[in-house]
Amino acid sequence: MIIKEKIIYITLLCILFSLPSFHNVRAENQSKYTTSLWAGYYQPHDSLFEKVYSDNERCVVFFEFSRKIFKFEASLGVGGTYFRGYAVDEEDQPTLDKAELGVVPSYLQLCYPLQYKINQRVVPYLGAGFDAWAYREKTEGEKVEGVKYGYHGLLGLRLLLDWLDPKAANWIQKEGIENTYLVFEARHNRINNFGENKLDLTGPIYKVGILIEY
Amino acid sequence: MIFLKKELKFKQLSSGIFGNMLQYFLVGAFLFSSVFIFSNFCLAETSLKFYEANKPGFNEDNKYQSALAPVVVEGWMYIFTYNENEAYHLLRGSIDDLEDPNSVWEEEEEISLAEVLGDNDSESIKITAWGAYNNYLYLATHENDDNKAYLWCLEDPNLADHNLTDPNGWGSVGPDGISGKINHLEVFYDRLYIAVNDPDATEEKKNVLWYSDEETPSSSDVDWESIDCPELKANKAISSLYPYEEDYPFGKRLYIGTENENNGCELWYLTEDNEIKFLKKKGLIDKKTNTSVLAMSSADGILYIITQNSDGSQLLNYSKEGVFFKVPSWEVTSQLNSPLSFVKLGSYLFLGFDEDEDQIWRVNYFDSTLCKNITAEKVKDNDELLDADNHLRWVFADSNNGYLYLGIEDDSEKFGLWRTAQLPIIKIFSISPSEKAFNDSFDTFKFEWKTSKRGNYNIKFDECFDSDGEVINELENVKDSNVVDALEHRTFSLEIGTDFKEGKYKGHVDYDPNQDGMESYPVQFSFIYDTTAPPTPEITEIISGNERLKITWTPVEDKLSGIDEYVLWYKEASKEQDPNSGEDVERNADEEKSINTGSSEECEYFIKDLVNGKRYLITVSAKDKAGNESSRSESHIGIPKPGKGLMELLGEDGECFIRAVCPSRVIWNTSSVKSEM
Repeated sequence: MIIKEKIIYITLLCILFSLPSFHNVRAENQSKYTTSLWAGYYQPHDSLFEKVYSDNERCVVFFEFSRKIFKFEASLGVGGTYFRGYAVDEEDQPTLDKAELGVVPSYLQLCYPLQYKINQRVVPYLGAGFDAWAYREKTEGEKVEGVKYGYHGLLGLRLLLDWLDPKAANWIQKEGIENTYLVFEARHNRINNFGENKLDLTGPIYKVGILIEY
Repeated sequence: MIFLKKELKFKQLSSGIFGNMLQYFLVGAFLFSSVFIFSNFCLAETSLKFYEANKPGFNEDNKYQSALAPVVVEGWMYIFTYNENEAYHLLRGSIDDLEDPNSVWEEEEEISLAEVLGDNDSESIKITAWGAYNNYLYLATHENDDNKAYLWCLEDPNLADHNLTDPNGWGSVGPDGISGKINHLEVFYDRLYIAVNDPDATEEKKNVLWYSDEETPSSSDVDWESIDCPELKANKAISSLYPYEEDYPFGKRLYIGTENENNGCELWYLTEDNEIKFLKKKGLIDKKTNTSVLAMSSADGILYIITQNSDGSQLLNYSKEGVFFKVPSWEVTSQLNSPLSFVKLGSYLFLGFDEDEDQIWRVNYFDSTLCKNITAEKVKDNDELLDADNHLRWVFADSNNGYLYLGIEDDSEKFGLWRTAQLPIIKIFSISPSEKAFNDSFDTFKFEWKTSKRGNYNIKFDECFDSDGEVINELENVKDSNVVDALEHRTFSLEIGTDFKEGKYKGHVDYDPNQDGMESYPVQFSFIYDTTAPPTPEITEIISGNERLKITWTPVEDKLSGIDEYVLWYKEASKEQDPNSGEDVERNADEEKSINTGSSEECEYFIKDLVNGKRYLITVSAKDKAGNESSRSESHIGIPKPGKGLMELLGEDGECFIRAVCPSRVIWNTSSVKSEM
């Protein structure tokens, strides 16, 4: 791991564990779980990626489930993204052979929401976690698949939607859903088997989603 | 029988209106433009004179005209009539005898369908369709009581000792136990097709198109198969069936038009291999407005289709190479029944409608190769035959003998047969070379033709252009003014390279109206004589792939006949050292192969089944429609090989999803799995 990244992740962890003052204001919130659906943009850093999969919309989707543990939220997430391109020749020019790459990222992460009151309209949060990304590439005559491990750090912002329609919010609250948020998140992934060469899926993901607390 | 012969009269109402407009000539440009616009909407009319054939058996009491058009088998005409008991009569007579007032058409005895079908109740049986193919007469009947359809066959009805009414002569040949009505019979690619409609059946069986591989099925053990197309079967009815017999522009097809009240009509077609396809062309079928494909016909490579609109109006569409247009002068805005017939006679198509005031329309398709001058005119008969009291039951064209027939039921419900005087119908039945464009590999251009009427006929060249579009004057007026016997085949020929030079030629054969004032029914011919090879295309890109190469080249133009296709040439090559220069040079290591791309539009092609890693020398040439081929382009090297994916670029071999459980390194190949422990 390069020194610059080590500093970033250590800083994130320090921030996570140095914000206990928000804990007491969250006590009255009865919700224990959150579920969220995301769609976003993924930009792999590896320059070779561009040669084969240059013309793709870099869309990625995620489903995430979280359990509140003290002041933290422990999350399990799984997603998917798919790339299509053309295999290249020795001069890196596209050939006639199609190439397809499917990636299924999964992760475990810990988040800390900076929430200091009930029904707080804007809730920033930050977190970090470990990743296992399964991949499969199919070209004309070959199929290569495997898993890459790594970690990520993230920053996000939750916007409470309940105040937009309080009646509906009250109604769904009776059904057990405490709050609904529109969520924006930026995360940086480092997915290269902790420093191994070869396939490096490292890159940022910018995503937006809907999150419900219940 | 008496035929009073007169020349055809032709009247163009629009010219009278235009004459009135001339009075206002001085008003200026504004009025001129108004006249021009108005004349486009003016209903054109033409006149035809019909003569009645009073043969015995025609004009008798209690004998009504059947709506079934007559059938002609080798010069003999067969007509169905029926009496008040709805029993059918079959009349038969020689077409030639209609000229002779002393000849008598034989009236066959009343055909008892009950006897033919082995049923006693004749009133419940109707004839729904009939036709003659290869000297077999086919009759489709429908029995009301049990809603069953039957197809009957009579072999060689012209034989003198053949009694048409003998039940033993007719044999049932249709598919067993089919319910509904056989509404259409057509022959396409030596197969007999029948369209059966049963409105009471389930959606999957409302319309069934049956066919037999035997062109003339004549026994009860004939195998019938149905076209498998659930979407076609779900239509309300198959409203028209038309075999398109020309190779140009898409090859022979059996067109199938359907009827639907709410969802719009559909147009399907069958190919030679019985493959059914849906035809959706912009401008032809609008699901919101068109409810039925009423009738179809074709001439000179153009398909004509009449569609019924939900507001009662009808549209006459014609297709030029798959694009449909509307005939602007066709103005049928009132609610008309389906056309009784859509028949071709010379350079015209005729349509008949049985309405309060019966109507006949004539479509002029002469010069239709340029899609111009396609006009529709309403035909007015001189004796007001088509008035409110009569019923037009069918229109029939005999192009071999040059007659247009009308089946008329008058106000006293008597059947009458009417026909025009003999018209000068010309038929070009063979052209050599058969291709429209040719080069100097042929010696002569010739065509064989015949006419229906003795008289003087002219062969004229209308347009002669060289490759630069300049007019060629040598062939402006080539005339053949010999008297031509109606039955004699005539040949017109020109020496290629002597009588005419390189260029585009278009001409026509027509009847000389100076003889008797009779209107001409011209036919046209055209050809391109081209000896110049097209320019050489150049290869612009070669992209490699797994056992294949994609070649791209520049398009070229051929001014005279046009590009027909491109030819790719390739051969395996290997590098060897030149003993003189010491440099590496390409040596041929394999026989050269060629691929005809079959397209003048596409300028790229995939050469497949190559060997990865081998070097191929590739060139391209262009062929025009006259058969001239350009010189070959400069040769380029292509080496097929599989491309590298991201993993191969990175040297990534892959691994098991859970390394702890399965620590082996795995490479998945299409053929085998290699595992390294």
